[in-house]
Amino acid sequence: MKKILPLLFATILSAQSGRAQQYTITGYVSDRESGEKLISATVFDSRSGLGAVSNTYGFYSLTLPAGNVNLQVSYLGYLADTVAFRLDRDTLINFKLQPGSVLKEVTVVAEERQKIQKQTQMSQVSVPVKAIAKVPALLGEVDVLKVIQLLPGVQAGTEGQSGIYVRGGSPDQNLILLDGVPVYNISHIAGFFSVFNSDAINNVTLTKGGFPARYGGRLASVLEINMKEGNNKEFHGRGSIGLISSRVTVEGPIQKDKTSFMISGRRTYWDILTRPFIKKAQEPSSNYSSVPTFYFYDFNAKVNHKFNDRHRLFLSLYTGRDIFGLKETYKYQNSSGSFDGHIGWGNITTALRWNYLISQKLFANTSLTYSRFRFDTGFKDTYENNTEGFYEASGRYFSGINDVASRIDFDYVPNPRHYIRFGIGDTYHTYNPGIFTYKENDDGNKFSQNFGDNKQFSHEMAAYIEDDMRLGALKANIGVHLSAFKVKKTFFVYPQPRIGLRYLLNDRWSLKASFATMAQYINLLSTEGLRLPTDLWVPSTERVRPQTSWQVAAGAATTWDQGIEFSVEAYYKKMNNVISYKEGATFFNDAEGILGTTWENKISQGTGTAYGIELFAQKKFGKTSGWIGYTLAWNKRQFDDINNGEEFPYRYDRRHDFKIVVSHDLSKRIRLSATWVYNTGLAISLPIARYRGEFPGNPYRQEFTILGKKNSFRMPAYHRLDLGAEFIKQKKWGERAWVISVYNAYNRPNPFYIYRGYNWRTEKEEFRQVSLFPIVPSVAYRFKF
Amino acid sequence: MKKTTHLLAIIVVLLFTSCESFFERTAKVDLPEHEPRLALSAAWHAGDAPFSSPFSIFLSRSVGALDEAAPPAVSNASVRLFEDDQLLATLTESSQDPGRYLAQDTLTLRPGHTYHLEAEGNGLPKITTEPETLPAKIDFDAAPFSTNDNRIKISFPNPPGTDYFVCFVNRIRQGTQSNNRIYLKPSSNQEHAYIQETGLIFDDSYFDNQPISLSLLLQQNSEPIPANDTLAIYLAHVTEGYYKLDRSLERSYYSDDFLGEPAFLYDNVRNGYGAFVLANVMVKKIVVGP
Repeated sequence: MKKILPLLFATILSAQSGRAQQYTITGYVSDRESGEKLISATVFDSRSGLGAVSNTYGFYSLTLPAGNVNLQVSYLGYLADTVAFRLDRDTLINFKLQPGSVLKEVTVVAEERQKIQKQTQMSQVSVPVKAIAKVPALLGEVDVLKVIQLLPGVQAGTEGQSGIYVRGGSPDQNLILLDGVPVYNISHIAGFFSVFNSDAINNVTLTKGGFPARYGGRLASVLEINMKEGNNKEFHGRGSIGLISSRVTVEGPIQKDKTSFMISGRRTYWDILTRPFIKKAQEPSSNYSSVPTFYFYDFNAKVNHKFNDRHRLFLSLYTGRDIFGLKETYKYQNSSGSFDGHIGWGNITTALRWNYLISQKLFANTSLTYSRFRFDTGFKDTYENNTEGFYEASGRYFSGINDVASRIDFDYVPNPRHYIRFGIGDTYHTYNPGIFTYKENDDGNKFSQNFGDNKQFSHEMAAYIEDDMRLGALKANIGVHLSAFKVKKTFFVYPQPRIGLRYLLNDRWSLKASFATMAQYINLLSTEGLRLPTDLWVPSTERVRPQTSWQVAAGAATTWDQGIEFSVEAYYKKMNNVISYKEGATFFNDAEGILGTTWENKISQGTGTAYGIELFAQKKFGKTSGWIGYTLAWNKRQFDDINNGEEFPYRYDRRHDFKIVVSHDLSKRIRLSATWVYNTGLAISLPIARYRGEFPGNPYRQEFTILGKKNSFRMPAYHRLDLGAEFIKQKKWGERAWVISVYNAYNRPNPFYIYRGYNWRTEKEEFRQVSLFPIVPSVAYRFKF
Repeated sequence: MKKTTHLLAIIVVLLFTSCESFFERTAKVDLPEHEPRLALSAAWHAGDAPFSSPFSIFLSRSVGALDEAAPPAVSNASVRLFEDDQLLATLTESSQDPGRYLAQDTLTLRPGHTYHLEAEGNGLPKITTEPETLPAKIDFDAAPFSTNDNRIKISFPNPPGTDYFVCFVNRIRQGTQSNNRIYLKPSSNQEHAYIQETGLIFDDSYFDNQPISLSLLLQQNSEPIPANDTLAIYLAHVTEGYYKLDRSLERSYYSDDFLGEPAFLYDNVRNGYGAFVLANVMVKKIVVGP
């Protein structure tokens, strides 16, 4: 650590000195039609062979020797732009690329597009938003996270869930950022749909390892999702009407080329569709009525304003919520009553960002962000009787987490051989571990009580510096992330060195390697089997130490003919202080006794080891596109007080994981798509024997069940085929498409969970498998104008 | 069109007939065939009455998790108790209770000595328990308790090393033999203390080698205990195995919860199943004051 920083600065200084006269070209790369910024577009000078890549805000900076330059700008799916001129001063050029049609894409992809073998970063996948829309989806709900689950090194958890398990990590070890703001609950309906509306998204990037120093706070992955900024040229809209939900997105200029907006909303309507049937099912003359409610919604909005070429301001908002509710009323002779209860949860995130081009070589982004996740449930029960009097009871429980954060990030590009990023940030976390309020009024006799843990607060601070440097055929990203965490009187500090290397063997092949250490200060209390909105986010404390990890990875990358990118990576990751509920414990139960209701008593800390090999081949353009991914992996855990202290396979230890995603354009009007996944079955614990005995606390002789070693059995393998077809037609007002998709096309009963139960047909005890989704056909109508 | 309609009808029929068994069905799990083993259970309490019963154990034969038959008691087995690796007693089977093996009434186990059991019979492999050292009986002081009090206070010396305890209180109504458990909780936020069926179970790590003082609150909504009733306070000094067994029993009870992490029952029997654990109990009775 002590040696890294001086080395870094010495390299930068040496690179600065002894050069011929140089000038810097800076600017933004955007979509000509919408003004939307293009992330990771390549700006390349064919004369010097030097280039740069646009950052998250579409900004690039390229310093070149004075003289003639021939700049070529390219981005996947866009017509390349070329400009030649004499460079004799610092110059600002904003590139506006024209989207290319699908069939033309083969010709528009520039040769010097930043190919996978030329990038320093490894273990990172960018999924084009267009590719996300092509993947067939459960009930037609296009879902970003379900597509991420189709990448190698990413596990999907149990059937239908949106959670992601990256390289042996758990779901809370993923930093999921929406416009730079952490999103704590990513799921609707207990995980079956994610909260991200694909129509509102511009870009999705997953980093599984080799983390650059700018990332921190989680062990397993960083998933960056950027919302669209809004078309600053003209008004456009898009939407879809599906079986369970509809969504609509509108974007356009408020002031052309200066200010634009984007708003997007999605809501399910099962509750509205089923209400008439429920009413009809109830006896018209009945004095009892029951109205269930269930829906979720998402709302995204973003406004951005360009003051001039140096200053831009962005304001983005996301809010979403799930509601399960029930309202009942009844009348019976002299009495009447009602019940009104609900369970709800949701996120709010907001981000205010200011881009400031301080100089041709220095770019700054300042962010103020807010993120809130809240789970709440409540009820009100009333009863009135002419003779017995009046009774009313109400209760409310809520838990959650709030973050208020600020950070400033700088991109400094002293010359084409160095791209330096540095920044600092602070997050103030407020944890609400669950408070229950109860009130009762029994004919005038009032009672009220509050239960639960007190709020907790913490500061999480981070600073980083990294340099993406070129040293001939060798490229290196070297940096350090320093994070600190203060909770009550406890203070943790972790310096986390990072290094990523790429060695270009020739123009087609490169070797890559990386090392990264990570620290995580906040934890999600969740059962292994299922993520629920009741899962609690809690801080590291004096008793619950921060989770840490180190990961090494090595691999090779190439681009084959027809633009097929191929990479192979091996990784080894060691995790310390990972958490798990103790045996028998859950959020709800009291297995740890009265004192055990403090969450710290319910958990255990241990170690995790994950290693494996990932193969990935991806074709991003052309009539046929998609990818094939295969992962061979091992994933283990060890806790002193679980499984008698012996190491055991993690529930999501899947030895083989194969995925294929294909999309084919039959014509301009018809697109077909398919995905097939195969995973080794989940590791589970099952009973193996029973005996009779008598032990303390059980005065009577009784039967006891012996479980095999923890997670020593396997569920049957998981495999599933999804199919999709899109019928597109151009209309005067825009474009419409009918989208037909079939989830689980060959009706495979994939196991959701397994339990010991009774088979009434054979009249025997057996292990029973519960499955969730049979073949599910769906249809949706999409439009854009 | 007609063909399409027929095809759709066939698909719908196939779907609905298969759906009946789709959502729940027999799981295909590769479970090895169960090999029956001896299972021994012995949680023996030395010390004051009512725990000073003759030493006994119960022996059964394990069955597979899915077997229909109940695990049978094992008769005619050979069961031997060892003290410090020397044979102390051979247990004999009760004539009234098959599978229960008892020592002579006169047999006593001594604090500080180490015991283990061996058993074989019914053609099953011989089993041996892990050694258990009988803890010393702990004398404790109990503060006087009056009918308006809401807490019971006890204190006792903290033996060196890590020790484990179980404490509970029974109320004996005046003039009767009625014996009811009083549910208590510690008045401070003491770590490593759990309220279980057996009582309050805890280790001494919280007390940092200092004398142990407990203040036990009557559970909320408890009726005041009338004067002249008697409180019987039980303090069991238990082995680590006893503590682990008791905790695992409590956890396994809760792991039936659909969301609960699986809980593994403590086991210290080699080549078989079950547990052999020891405790030494001190009982004090105090009469509730006015």
